[in-house]
Amino acid sequence: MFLLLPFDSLVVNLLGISITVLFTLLLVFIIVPAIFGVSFGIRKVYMKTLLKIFQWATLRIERGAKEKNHPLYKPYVNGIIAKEPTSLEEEIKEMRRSGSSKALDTPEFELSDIFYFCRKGIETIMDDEVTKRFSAEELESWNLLSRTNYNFQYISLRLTVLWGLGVLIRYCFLLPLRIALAFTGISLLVTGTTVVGYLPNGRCKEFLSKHVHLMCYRICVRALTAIITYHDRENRPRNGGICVANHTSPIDVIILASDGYYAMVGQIHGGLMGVIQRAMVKACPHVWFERSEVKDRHLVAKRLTEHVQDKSKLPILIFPEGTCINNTSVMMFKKGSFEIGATVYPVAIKYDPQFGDAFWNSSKYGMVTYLLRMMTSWAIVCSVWYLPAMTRQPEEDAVQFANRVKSAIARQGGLVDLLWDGGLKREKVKDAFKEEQQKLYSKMIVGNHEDRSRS
Amino acid sequence: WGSPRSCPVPQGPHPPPSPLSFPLTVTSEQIEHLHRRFKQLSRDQLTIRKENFDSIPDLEFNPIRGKIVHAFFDKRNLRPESDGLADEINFEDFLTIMSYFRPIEMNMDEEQLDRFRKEKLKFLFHMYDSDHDGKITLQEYRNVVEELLSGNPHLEKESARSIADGAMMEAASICVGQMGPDQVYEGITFEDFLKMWQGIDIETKMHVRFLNMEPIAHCY
Repeated sequence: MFLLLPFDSLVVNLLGISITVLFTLLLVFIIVPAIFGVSFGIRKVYMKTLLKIFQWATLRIERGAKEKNHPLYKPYVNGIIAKEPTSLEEEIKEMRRSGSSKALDTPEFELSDIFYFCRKGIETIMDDEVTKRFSAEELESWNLLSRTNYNFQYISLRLTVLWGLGVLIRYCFLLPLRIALAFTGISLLVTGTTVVGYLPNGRCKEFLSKHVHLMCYRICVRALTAIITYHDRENRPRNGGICVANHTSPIDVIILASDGYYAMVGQIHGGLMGVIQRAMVKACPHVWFERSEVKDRHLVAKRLTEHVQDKSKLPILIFPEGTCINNTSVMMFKKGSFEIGATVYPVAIKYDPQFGDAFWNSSKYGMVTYLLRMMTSWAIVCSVWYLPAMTRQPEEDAVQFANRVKSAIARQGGLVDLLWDGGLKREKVKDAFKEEQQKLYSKMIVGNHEDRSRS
Repeated sequence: WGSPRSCPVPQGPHPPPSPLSFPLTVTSEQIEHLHRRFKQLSRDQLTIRKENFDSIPDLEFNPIRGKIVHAFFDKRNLRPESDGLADEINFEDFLTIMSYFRPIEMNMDEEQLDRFRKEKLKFLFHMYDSDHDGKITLQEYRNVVEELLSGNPHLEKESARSIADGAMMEAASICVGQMGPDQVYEGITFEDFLKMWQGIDIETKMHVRFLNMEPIAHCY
């Protein structure tokens, strides 16, 4: 027992020293640069090293597969064709609206109705469940995450060791580091904004508030090891405008807010989120809605309009597919933000899935699971493009304007233009539902016809 | 359908397909996908017959399933001036039919767009005109309406018929204007058909879009 004691204290000492060293490094290399908005470029070097390792890993797998003479599999999660998720009624209405000048509320059979079924038929011929999953092709790259590897059986011993090392690094070194940083970032945000909130309104308060927000978001960015490339920064949103971006994950907010000072929009939550929200609003006017207010479209529109018209207030950050904070129905802001009449600054965000898949499948993972997955990935690499401002032209309505903005964003980010419809996330339509569609169509036509002949 | 590249048809003694009036701009990756799909449907044979389409479960629910499958074998869709029905089609023909559903490309000029539209409308016209006489008669129109409404088992034949009749009369009024009491409207010709579609931009509705499967642009 006596022999254990000095050994014991040695271990404790070592532990103490290493933790101190770790935290000093943390402070110097991560937190201080975040405060001042500079970067040492460590993350870029990290990224390049990782890429080299991934390429090596991929070559090994391909070699292994070739030796055994098996085809490799590359998963296509979303199928090969983009299926429009709009319902039968919507599509038929849209087709008719674009064509005849007849009133829409007396639908009868029209030649254009055949389109919908024709197209659906061709879609199923081109691609159904069977083709959706895999395609035998060369692997682009394996990023040493088992969650993205579908060719497990081709891994050699060397690769397994490397993968194991990767797991160790990610879970035992990176994860605690990132959690510590996230904790620091959030607590600084809450305390910082609360403190700034006590100051009297004025330029000093604004200045401090801006820098507190930016600093904390930058720390959070480092907490996720997000390597972001900003393009066209001269188009950044200005006061009195609305910033509109495509929405892939809750991290989008952090990515955008670390490069600009925005007013957030969302529903007030309880818990930690609520605490953060309440603290933030003390320092600068964000637009938070109570749960009951969220349903009232006019109220929402009114408050947003008021905010936008005040030129001293910050640009609003909106994700027209639905903000990540409040998780209410996607329809809520769909064209609402485009009806307000402010200048719209579109932003395209594109993630590189090589380092970690940032996509949040909210039906599969909860928020906490998702964040953990993010924090145990290698890094989050993305590009942000600031597109030139757009305003609504006199002859277009809100929907057309929204579509115009949507295509601009899709084009810039190299994304499919159906991005807004959220169809990529939906589950496959059940069989019974499909049959329903047919019945629905015939009811639609016949029902109205009968009504008319009766009246 | 992606940036124009040469479209080599993989593995097979097929010459590159181009029987249509516009060149096929599909990426080789998309063609490979379609080829895989073709092989799956044909069970590794070189040609597909009508029975092969039975293996697609989702197609069962489509009310105009028969017409869609028929369209694949309709020679009028496969080659510009031919007629009749083919018993079986090869991959080239399969691609030809699929190409009627290309989305419009950004760089098309007026003339190309117009031709594009006509091709798509012609495809639809052939779907209605089942006896290949170049006219859609009242009976053919009724057939289509009945098929479309066939999902509803409670529907009486009379209702479907009257709907078709009403629609046909309207078509007649658009195409021919006021008809005399003893004038008989023979049927909708292709020119009349085109007239009816004026204003409806089907180019944007009648297409199937491939997901962008190009390697993702690198962000660094």
